[in-house]
Amino acid sequence: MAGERPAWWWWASIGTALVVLMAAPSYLDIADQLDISIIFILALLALSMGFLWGQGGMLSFGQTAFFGLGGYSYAVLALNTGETTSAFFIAIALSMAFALAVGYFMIYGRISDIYLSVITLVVTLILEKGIRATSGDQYVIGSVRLNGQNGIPTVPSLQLPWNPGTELFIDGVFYLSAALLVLVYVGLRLLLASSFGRVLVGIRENERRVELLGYDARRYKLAAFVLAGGIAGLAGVLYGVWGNFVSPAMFHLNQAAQVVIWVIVGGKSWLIGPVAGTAVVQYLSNWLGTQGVGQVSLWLGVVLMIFVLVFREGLLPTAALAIAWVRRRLGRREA
Amino acid sequence: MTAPILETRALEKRFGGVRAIAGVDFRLEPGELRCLIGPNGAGKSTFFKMVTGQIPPTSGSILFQGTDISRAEKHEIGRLGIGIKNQVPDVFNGVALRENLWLAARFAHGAAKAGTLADAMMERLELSSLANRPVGELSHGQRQWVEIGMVILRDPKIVLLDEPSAGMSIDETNRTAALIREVNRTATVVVVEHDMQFIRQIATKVTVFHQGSILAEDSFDRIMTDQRVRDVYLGRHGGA
Amino acid sequence: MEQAAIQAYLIGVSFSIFILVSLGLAVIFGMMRVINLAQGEFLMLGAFVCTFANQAGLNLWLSFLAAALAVGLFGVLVERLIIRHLYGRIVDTLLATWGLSLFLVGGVTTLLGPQTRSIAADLGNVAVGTYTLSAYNFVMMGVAAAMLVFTFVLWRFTRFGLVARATMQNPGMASGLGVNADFVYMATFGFGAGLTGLAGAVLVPVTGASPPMGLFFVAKAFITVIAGGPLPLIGTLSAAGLFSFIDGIVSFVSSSVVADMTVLFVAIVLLRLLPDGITGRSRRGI
Repeated sequence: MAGERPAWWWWASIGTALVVLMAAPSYLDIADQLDISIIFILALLALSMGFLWGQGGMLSFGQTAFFGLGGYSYAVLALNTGETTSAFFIAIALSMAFALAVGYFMIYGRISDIYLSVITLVVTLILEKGIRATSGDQYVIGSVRLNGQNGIPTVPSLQLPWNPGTELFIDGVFYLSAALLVLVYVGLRLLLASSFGRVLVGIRENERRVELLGYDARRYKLAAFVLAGGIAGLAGVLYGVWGNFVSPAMFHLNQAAQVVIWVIVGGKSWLIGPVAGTAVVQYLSNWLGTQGVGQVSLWLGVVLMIFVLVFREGLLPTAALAIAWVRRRLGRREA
Repeated sequence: MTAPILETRALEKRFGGVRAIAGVDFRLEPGELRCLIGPNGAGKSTFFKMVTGQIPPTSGSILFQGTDISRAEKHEIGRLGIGIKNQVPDVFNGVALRENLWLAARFAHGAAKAGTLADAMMERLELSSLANRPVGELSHGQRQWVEIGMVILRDPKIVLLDEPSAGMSIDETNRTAALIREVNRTATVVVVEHDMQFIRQIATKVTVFHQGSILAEDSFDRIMTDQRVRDVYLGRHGGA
Repeated sequence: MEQAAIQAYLIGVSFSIFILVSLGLAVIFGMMRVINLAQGEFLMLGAFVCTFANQAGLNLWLSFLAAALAVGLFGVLVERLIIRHLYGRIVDTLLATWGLSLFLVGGVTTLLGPQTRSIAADLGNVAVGTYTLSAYNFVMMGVAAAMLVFTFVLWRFTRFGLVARATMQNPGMASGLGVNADFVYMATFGFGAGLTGLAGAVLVPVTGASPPMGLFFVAKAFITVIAGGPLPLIGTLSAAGLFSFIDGIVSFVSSSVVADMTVLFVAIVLLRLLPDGITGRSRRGI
C-alpha cells in the first residue's frame, strides 16, 4: 500500500461515497442523521489510532486524551468568546501541542513501543481524573465552569464562518463530519504515498535500518504522533458540536478501549479498516444496548479477547485473505 | 602514512562484568578493503555496532575523519557516510524490494532521483524480476544483497559488511566477492567473515580479533601462517 | 516536629499504597514481561472476596488470606486460558488482558451492581499531638512491608525463586535442565495475582470494594513498575519511594489529584532522562 499512488477505482469509490453521503440527509430522518454522524466522528478517532498503529507501528492507547482535550478546548473557547470558527481551529492546535509535548518525551526518550502504549493510556486516565476533580466553583476558565464529572453542557453549535448568525443544524453536522472523514481519509492515503509516509512505513518495519540509512526516525514518529493527535482533537471538537456536550467520559478507559476495539475489529493494516470497524462495532453496541443484555463493557471485553486470540488481522484483511483463498481454490480446479 | 578515515582509541565495551571489547586501537586507511576475522565471541560484531552507533561504547573514542563519533546517534553516523550490513539481514521485510531500495536512495539523493536509482540497483543485483515482492519472501542470500544494495545506494565513505556471504552458495559467494570489489572502487570497505576462501578472494589486509582485542594484523598469507592465529582458531589457549 | 511526623506519616501511607498496588505487577510484568492490564481487576476481585469473606463471618486477617488465595487461583486460571497462548506476543497479551479487564468490570457490575461495599476495620486511632491518625494505616504499612520481604526472600533464597529466575532468563535452558518451565510460568503468574488480590483486600477498609476501583490503581502500578526499570523489586521499591515522596508532599500542600498529575509528569520526564528506568544501568540483582 505504501508508496503506491491510489488507482482510478479508488478515486471512483471516493467520488461515489461523497455523492452518496451528500445526498443521504434528504432520505434520512433526524434520528438516523444523528446516529450516522456520530459514527463518522468516532471513525475519525479510530482513524487517528489506526494510522499510528497500522502505518507507524506506534500503539497509542491514549488517543482519547487528545479527543477529550479537543472537545474541552472547543467548549471553553467557544463559550468564552462566543465565536466558534477560531475555537474550532485553536482546539485542534491545542490537541496537537499536547501531543507534541507528550510525544517528545516518549519518542525522544526512546522508550520502547510497549511503554508508549502504557504511558499514553496512563495520560488519558490521569486527565480524566483531573477533569473529574474540577466540580468545585473555583475551577473556572474565563467564564466557563468545568463542572467536574457532570461535564460542560451548552457547548455552542458551529457557526458558519462567513455568516456567524447561522448555526449548523443536525444535517449541517452530518455534512461536515462526513466531509471531514473523507478528507482525512484521503489525506492520510495520499500521505502514505508520499516520501513521508513511505519513510514512516519503513520505520514500522525496521526502525534501526531507517536510522542507519541516515533518517532521524524520531522526527518522523513525532510528526506522525502530532498529526494523529490533531485528528483525534478534530474528532473531539466535532463530538462536542454534535451533542452540544463534553464530559470526562471522553477520556475514560472504556472510551479508550472502544477505540482499540474498532481498530482491531476493522483491521489496522488498511486505513479503511478502522472506519469499517467503528461502523460495525457501534451499530452492534447500539443494538446490544437496546437488548438489555447487561453491561456493554462485558461484551466489548469478550469481542476484544476473541479478536486477539482468533482473528488477529481484523475483519477486512481476514475477509481479503478468505477471498484470495477461495480464488486460489477455484483457479486450481479450472487448471 | 595518510590520515586514517576511521580510527578507534582504547575502545572498550563491557556487558555486566564481561569485556566484549577490551581496549581496541584500530586504524583504517582511506580506500582499504580490510577483513576482520576471529572466533565467535571475539567482539567483531560488537565492534561494528559501536562504530555505527548501535551500541554506545563504555569508554574510549571512535574517530571518523578525525571527528569523534563515539556518542553520535545512528542517523548522524549514517549521514556522515558510514553504512553497515548487519549480521542478520536487516531490511524492511514487509515491504516490496523496490520500496526497500527507494527508501535508501531517497535519503541521499532526494525523492526525484530515488526511483531511477532503485531500479538501476535492482538491475545491478539482478533482482529486477522480484521488484514488487516483499523482501521477507526472498531467500537469505537475496536479502543479503538487498541490504548491501541499500547500503551502497547511500554512497557511503565506509562500508561495513558483517558476514556478507553467510548462507550463500558458491556461485552466490563469488558474485558477492565481485560486488564487494566493485564497491571498494569508491568506498573503504571492512568485512567480517569466517569463510577463508572468500577472504582470500578479496582481502588485502586482515585484522584478527580475539577475546575483545586485536591479536594480529597483516596480509592474508602472513596471517594464515601466524602461529598465534592458528592457536586461537584451533582452540589452543595455552599460549594466549 | 509534629508537622514533620505528619508529613512522614503521609509519605509512609502513600509509599505503602504504591508498594501494595505495584508489587503484583512487578512480579507479573517485571519478572515475566507479561503486561497485564487486568491487574486493577485482580485488585478489585481481591477486594470483593475479602468483603464477602468478612461479611460471612471470617475475621479481617483470614479474609485477607482468602482474597490472596482466591485471586491467586484465578490468576492460574487466566494464565492457562489466555496468557499461555500469547507468550512472546507482548502486544497481543496487552490487548487480551485489556479485554479481560473490561469483561471483569462488566461482569462484576452485572452480578453485584455498581455500588461500593465496604467493611470497617475497627482498630481505633493513634493520637499525634493535635492530629488523630487511623491505626489501620499502620496495618497497611505493615502488610506492604511484609509482602515486600516475603517476595524478596522467596525470590532470592528459596529453590523456587532460583528456578523461577533461571526460567525467566532462559526458558529453553531451564527446560533442558529438567525444569517444568510451563509450571513455573503458571505458578509465578498465580503468585503475582495472589499478591495483587491481597493488596486489594488490604485496601478495602480504606477505599471500599467497587467494580471500577482497579482503574486508578492500575495507572499508579504501571508508572511505578515502568519507571523502576529492569530490576523488578529494587526498581519498584525505588520508584515507589520517589513517587510516594512527591505524592505525600504535593497532596499535603495541594490535593491528591494534583499529586497524581505531578507523579505522572515526573514519571514521563524521568523516562526521557533514563529511558530504561531507575535501575536501567544495572544488569544484576532482583
